[in-house]
Amino acid sequence: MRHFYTELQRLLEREFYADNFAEIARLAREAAESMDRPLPFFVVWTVFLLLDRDWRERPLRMEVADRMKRHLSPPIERYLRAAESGLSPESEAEHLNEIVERFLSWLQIQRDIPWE
Amino acid sequence: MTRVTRQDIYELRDAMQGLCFQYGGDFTLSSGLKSKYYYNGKRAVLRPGVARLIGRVVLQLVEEAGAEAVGGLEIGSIPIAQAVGAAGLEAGREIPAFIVRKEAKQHGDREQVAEAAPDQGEHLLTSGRKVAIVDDVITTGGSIEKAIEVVEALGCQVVLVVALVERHEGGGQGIRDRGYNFRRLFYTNEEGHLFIDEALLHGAAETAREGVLRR
Repeated sequence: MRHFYTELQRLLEREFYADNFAEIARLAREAAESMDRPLPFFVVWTVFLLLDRDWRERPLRMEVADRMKRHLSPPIERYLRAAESGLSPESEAEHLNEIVERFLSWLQIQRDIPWE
Repeated sequence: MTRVTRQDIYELRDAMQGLCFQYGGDFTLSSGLKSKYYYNGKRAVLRPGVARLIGRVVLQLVEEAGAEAVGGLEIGSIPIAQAVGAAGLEAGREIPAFIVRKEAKQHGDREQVAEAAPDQGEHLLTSGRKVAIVDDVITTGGSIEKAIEVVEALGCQVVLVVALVERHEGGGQGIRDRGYNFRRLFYTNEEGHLFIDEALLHGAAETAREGVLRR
């Protein structure tokens, strides 16, 4: 059996760059397709699919990549750590809301980063 | 078709150097590698005058290799393949294009390619078809390797791989090491200066003529 939580955590520990976004998206999708409760991994898949779309053809400065990672990774990592030991539906929903809210606030930040 | 001249190649190098490079910072590339410069080939390739010249230069390589179709991974390859097609028409030849998608569509049996329809109503990318893979840049070679993998799975024979620019990371060597006929027009050093591949100059006509770029 694959340890999707651990594999995703390992990818999130890496720096943020387009190929890593694509790899995380692929893994999250695979996890969503093989889980009884696919919603959390569907959320992670969507987040990184959109990041890949937004940044693959755009210059990504190292400081922006670092800022993006600092902004987006913590709620996902918190969810993955908590989910490994089991979560109530309510607690899972809270984690997912935090991930989505953080992603939406990143999109606001991203809009203000000049396209070079 | 008028043969590509050395002057054309110098002019193309100058246009690409001027249009495609961004300096002054530390960039994280798609592959995760770090770089002092950022290269965006589309800033030049999408200009009709530059595209026309690129088409003519790459067409020569395509004809030498005997490729019947030109394409590669989206989106870098698309304007190049179209430019080669346009140059082919100028020379009285039709060279159809194809696109390899980064992600397969979720339907159909040929879900990872979009291809021109050959006259005979068959698929373009079929067993034994000689194809050229093109891209605007090669860094680690990942995009080109993906395109090769997809077209070879459809039975095609990759007779040529062309990158407009080989970045200083040297991804072209990996393609050569796998036995492919890899050609580049230009290459960079670590500072992002663009140099002409000598082999390209050897194949160009000596005669100077009026430049074709209209910037």
